[in-house]
Amino acid sequence: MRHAWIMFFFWPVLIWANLSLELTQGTTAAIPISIEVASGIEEAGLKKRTEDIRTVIVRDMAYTNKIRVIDAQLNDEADFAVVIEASSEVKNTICMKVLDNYQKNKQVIHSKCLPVSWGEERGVAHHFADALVKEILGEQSIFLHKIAHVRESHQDIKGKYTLRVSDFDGGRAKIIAKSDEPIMSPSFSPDGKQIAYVSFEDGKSSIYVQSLSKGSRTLLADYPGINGAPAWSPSGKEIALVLSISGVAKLYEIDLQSKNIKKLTSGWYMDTEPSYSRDGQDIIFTSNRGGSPQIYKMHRQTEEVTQLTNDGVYNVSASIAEDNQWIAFLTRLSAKLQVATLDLQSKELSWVGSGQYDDTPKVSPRSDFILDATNKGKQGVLEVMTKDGSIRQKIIEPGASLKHPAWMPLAE
Amino acid sequence: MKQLNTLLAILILGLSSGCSKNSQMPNDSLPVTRGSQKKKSRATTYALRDEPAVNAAKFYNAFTRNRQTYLFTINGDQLEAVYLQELDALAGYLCKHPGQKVHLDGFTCELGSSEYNIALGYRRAQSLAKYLQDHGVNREQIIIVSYGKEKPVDRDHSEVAWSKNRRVEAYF
Repeated sequence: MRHAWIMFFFWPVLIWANLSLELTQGTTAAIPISIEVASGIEEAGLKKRTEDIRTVIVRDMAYTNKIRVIDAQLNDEADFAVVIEASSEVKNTICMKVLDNYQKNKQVIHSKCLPVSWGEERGVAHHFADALVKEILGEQSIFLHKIAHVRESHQDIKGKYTLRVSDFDGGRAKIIAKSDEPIMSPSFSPDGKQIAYVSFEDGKSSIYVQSLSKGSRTLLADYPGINGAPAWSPSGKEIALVLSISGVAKLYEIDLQSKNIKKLTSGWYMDTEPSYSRDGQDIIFTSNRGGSPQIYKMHRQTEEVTQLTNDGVYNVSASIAEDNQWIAFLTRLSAKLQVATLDLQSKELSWVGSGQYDDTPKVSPRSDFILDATNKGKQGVLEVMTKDGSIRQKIIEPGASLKHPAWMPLAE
Repeated sequence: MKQLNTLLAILILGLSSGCSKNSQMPNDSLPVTRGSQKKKSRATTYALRDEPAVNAAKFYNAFTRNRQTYLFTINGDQLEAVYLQELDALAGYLCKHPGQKVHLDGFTCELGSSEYNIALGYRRAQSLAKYLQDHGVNREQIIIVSYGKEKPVDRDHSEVAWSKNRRVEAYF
């Protein structure tokens, strides 16, 4: 038996990855704003960091499609003027002021100061961007969302696979587990404090549950054959998973307190990729029970099973929206696998993916974005896109493939 | 890999297929005496009797030093007929060496979701396992792990690459 090297971390290791982002933006009428770095920051390092913060805010605004950052020479046309400056009172603190150009004397309608330690510029920028969206649009933003994903190094053999938690755009990634063998299918607990994942570190698949703050972990499932696709129930009391102890992939549910295990599906076809509806009433899953892989829904109480997809011969990997009204999933057309959405009422199907080999679409906690794994040449990359696919950003890391994404639930 | 499979095919020529499912001895064996009745009931391992020991050693080496690869069609989990002779010999070897375990790692091409492909890769490995079991191999000797589309042998996005990745790797 091979024993792979695995580490998991208490204090996550900060990644200084050479992260590259490719943004494709839709164009609509949007509120024009200007964002300027205040003159008079004398210290070169602080000036650079302030400018970096501005760059990230500008990029974040592109996600909204409702706020447009205009060129500096057109500042007069801006509805709002945003000024980023160093605090004159507190060292290493950056402040953002928002001025309403339509109000008399260009009144400051919002100001916020945040300490900025080295390497945390992106975090500060996302906080400022979030505040801007709340102030100007009165809406919630995606900028403070966190994701988990797996990085597979193209060079390293030792520690080839790392499980990481990062910002929504892949920035500030922190390693929480590292292994020579594949890691996949991360799933956060509803409170965002724990993460379940599949690890092949022992030369076979096992499911672990790891505490994010402590880094300690427990073995949840280590049966012969498949131990896969863990999915946390909304109550946090159960984890649905896939085991093959009956000879084929089937859905099971483990009660985390009693450790009792319950078989959810039976038969000789393959059932996999369970996920709970946000109200916990249903389990959405993939099955080839009808001859080809399709997406089904099973009511947990009545065990009634309903087929959700039937267009095409390959529909898998569903993620359901918060309101249970639509799903994001993968659909195959000839040799192309792409993210699509399906309105469960109207049955309207929309192709929203951009790649040819998309994987694992996940609907964001507020159901406004979809995160998936796709490819750029032979490299695996992540992609964050709006629900309709009009704005999309690829997260690319040189020398590595990024895959197996998952959203961290929002803190209550 | 093809060369290795050919080598194996040569090595295994003459190895009879699988374990005997009943207690009958081969025709050329000596008449069984009452005294050896107990022994006879376990005599399910005549497959390699006619072969020089060196071939068994080579067979062992082939599965220890290398992984034998069995390819599948897209979405398929049916064994290709071309592999059956080799699998017969593998079954025979495993019957003869009940302490020997065989790993069957299942893989798929990239055309599918990660977890569905885990299920499919398992099904492919299970096809081999079932064949071996049908030929008398004890289930306890078989260890199945499915990696799905992880660890592809070829990362290219082409039918050539995909056909190489749709596989089960067997090794001791």
